[in-house]
Amino acid sequence: MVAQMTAKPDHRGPSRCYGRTVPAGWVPALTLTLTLIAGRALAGEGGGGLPQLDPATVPTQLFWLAVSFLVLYYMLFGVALPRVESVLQERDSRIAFDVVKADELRAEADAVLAAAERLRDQARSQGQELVARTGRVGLASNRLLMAELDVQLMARIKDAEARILAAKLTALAQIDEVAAEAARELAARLAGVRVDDATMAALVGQVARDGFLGRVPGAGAPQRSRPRSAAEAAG
Amino acid sequence: MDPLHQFHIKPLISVIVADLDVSFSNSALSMITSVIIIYALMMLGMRRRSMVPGRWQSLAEIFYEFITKMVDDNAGRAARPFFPFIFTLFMFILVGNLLGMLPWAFTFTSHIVVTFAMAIFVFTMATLLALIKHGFRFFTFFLPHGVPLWLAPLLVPIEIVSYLSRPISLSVRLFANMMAGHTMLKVFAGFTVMMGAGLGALGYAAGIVPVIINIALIGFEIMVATLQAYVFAILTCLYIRDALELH
Amino acid sequence: MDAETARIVAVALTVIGTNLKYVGAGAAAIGLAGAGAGIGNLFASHVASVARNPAVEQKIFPITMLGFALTEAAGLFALLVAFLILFT
Repeated sequence: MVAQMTAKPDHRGPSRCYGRTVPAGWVPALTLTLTLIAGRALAGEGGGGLPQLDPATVPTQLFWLAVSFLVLYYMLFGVALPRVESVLQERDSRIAFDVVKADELRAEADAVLAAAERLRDQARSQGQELVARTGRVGLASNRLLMAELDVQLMARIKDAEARILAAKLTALAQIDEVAAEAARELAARLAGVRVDDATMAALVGQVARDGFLGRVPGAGAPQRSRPRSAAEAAG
Repeated sequence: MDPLHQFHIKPLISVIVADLDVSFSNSALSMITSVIIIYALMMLGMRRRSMVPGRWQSLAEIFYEFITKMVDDNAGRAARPFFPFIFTLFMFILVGNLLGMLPWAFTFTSHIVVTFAMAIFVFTMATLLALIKHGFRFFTFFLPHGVPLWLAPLLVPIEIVSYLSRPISLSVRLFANMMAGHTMLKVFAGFTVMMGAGLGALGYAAGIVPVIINIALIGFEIMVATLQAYVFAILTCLYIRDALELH
Repeated sequence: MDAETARIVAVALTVIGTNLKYVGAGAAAIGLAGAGAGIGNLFASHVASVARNPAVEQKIFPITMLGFALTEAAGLFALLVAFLILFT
């Protein structure tokens, strides 16, 4: 705006300030010149502008860049990278070796497994055959055996029953004898009465048949169901 | 307060060789520090050469395998001899960029002289490689396949300019990223100071905002630092592939 | 125009000339808009690709990052011009 305002009068026509004609284009030219001059002056005041554009620092930067880059390159190229590479190769070869070994081991394990499976199948088929054969033979023999056993057992049971019966009869027979003996002893001790064997046996036989006073019908059941009458009977 | 103050090169030890001022400056200190860090990382990491790598060894191996893969994928297996060079280039730029993120550290990659020197070296190397490998046939590179011949007068100059602008774009990309990033950090940090100076206590309270932005920007700059090293290395790979394969 | 007016004009033009560079720097920074649009486009495409086929994310992420770096650098060329105008 200011530039236009100041420039305006000068564009009306040839200027006659100093008594001679100058071309109308002098304002842009002057502006440019002054701008350049002022810019240069300002740049001088500002301390040289961008530090990156200071040519004085170029040699030192290039020199130290070259030195450090070359040193780094040869250190990495000569020492560090081969070392990393050797470690990586060592690991790769180790892994490859391990993979090969693992493959071998797996193949071996597969073979062993296959053999075991074959053996197992074989054993299973053998067992099945054996079971089948045994089943056919065993069924018949088992029946025979069981029948035989049944007969034997029945015989033994019968034998045992007979023996029990005999023992019972013997015991029953002996009870009267024992009772007579005990009664005679009691009579002798308590009353001083001597009873001969025949009488005692007759008495015992009577008591055993008719009860102690000849009134009580049996020994077991009536006493349990009627305790009072049993007590009366005892009294 | 000058955001460009951080880019000034200050001589620490004056060295003058054959009338040239090659003083050991803060830039040189940064470069040498980078070299030491890279070498230490690679050597200390691989010191034990263990079959099962530890933390540092893993890092060294990751860098190695990352660059190996980059070279194989982008430059082809024929470019294997250039692997140490690309590895050195990548690590040097990466560590240089990251080192510059530390306070008071100098970022040597923020100088166009350094990046242009590296770019022109890559460019010259690739061009010489192409000339040695393909001889005169190298110049067919400037006429893409399957283009009608009448377009050649138009296309060949474009291709030549595009080819010649490679070192410029390669170097300016890295330099501009580093410089712009660091300047931006400094400008935002300057806002805090300006607020404090201009508005007093209120200004210091409000000055926390640029600080928070700066924290985010530092994260961004670390990403850019890594990414630009990667881009420089990968473009080097691509240029080498162009030289080896011509198209 | 007398000598006094000419002097005033000269001083005014000097002031304008030295300050116009800020306008130029600002104008140069407009170029960053293109980089912004480009980066936005790049990541929009990345997101769209990953949404269509999530399996490719690992594969295309480095490519996206490379594209980001190249696009961003194009914008920084404009910023660099702004810096050059401002500080030179």
